[in-house]
Amino acid sequence: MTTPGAGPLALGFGLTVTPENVLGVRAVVMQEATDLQNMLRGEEQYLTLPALGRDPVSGDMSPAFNAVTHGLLARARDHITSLFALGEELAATARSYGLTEGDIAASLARTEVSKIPAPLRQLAGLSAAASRPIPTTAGPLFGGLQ
Amino acid sequence: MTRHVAWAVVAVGTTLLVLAGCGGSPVPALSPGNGLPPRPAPLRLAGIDPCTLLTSAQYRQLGVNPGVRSDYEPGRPLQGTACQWDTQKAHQRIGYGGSLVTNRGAEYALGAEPLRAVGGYAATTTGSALSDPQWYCAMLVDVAPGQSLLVDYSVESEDVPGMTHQKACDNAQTAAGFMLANLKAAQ
Repeated sequence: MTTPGAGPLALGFGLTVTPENVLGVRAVVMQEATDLQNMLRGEEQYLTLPALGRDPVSGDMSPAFNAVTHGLLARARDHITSLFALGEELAATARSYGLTEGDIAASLARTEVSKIPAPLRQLAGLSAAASRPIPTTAGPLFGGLQ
Repeated sequence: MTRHVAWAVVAVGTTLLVLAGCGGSPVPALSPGNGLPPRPAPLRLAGIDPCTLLTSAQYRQLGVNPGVRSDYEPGRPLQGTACQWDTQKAHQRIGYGGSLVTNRGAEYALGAEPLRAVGGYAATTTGSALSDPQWYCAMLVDVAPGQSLLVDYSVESEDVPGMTHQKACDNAQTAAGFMLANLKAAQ
């Protein structure tokens, strides 16, 4: 993404951010990041428990499995971080368009799917005719609760 | 975008299932002789919304956003209701979880780490198979026979300077104090 400015912004993937769609794009990105984050958090319930016995899985093999899973999860976490970073850049872009913190926060409560660019709708699996709200999971996402 | 991460999660879940099948999970006896100090009084978990375990003042004090309900899926090791409070930002992204676990007591993690206490209730702590212990701590508070209040703290972005597993558990313990008090008040 380029430096935020007052004009349209090319995101790649055929997406161009404008003052009209910036909040819709950001809502989709933030929802995606939040969904993935919650998915990972749900997996953390596989707790590290005291070793039961001296079988090879509990002893030698377990660290090997853990190394693989940690590698996979590290990639997932990096992906989530990049999505949240994109969301933060889009918030900065929205501010440069003159939108307020209130506008940005409110956009997560309900976003008109029709204002989201088609390529992003497809990525997010949203129908153009749909009018469902993209649910918010939080109040002020940036700065409000730091 | 979800697909890229989803396959990773599926792969990890499969790996863990293999581990569970071969190595087995310790399920200590659920009885008064569970190896933990006596609890002051059993606390009821049924009918409690886990997202009410922290008040708005408390989650703000912890530096996180309002909670999101995220109950455990069927077939997983832990069963019950859960809520997550996160910061939802790219850097120093932290999260707290509060779960009302209905199928495992605090003795589930007994022996992993030294015992702690929260409001007079014994608490065990451990890590997650999916997280570096430096960035994650799970605390199980012994609130009822065969059930527990699970409170976890995590640094999902793995970038908070000076963080250790001990500090992560200290943070979980602070949140557990809030949650236990609210759970008691809801009885």
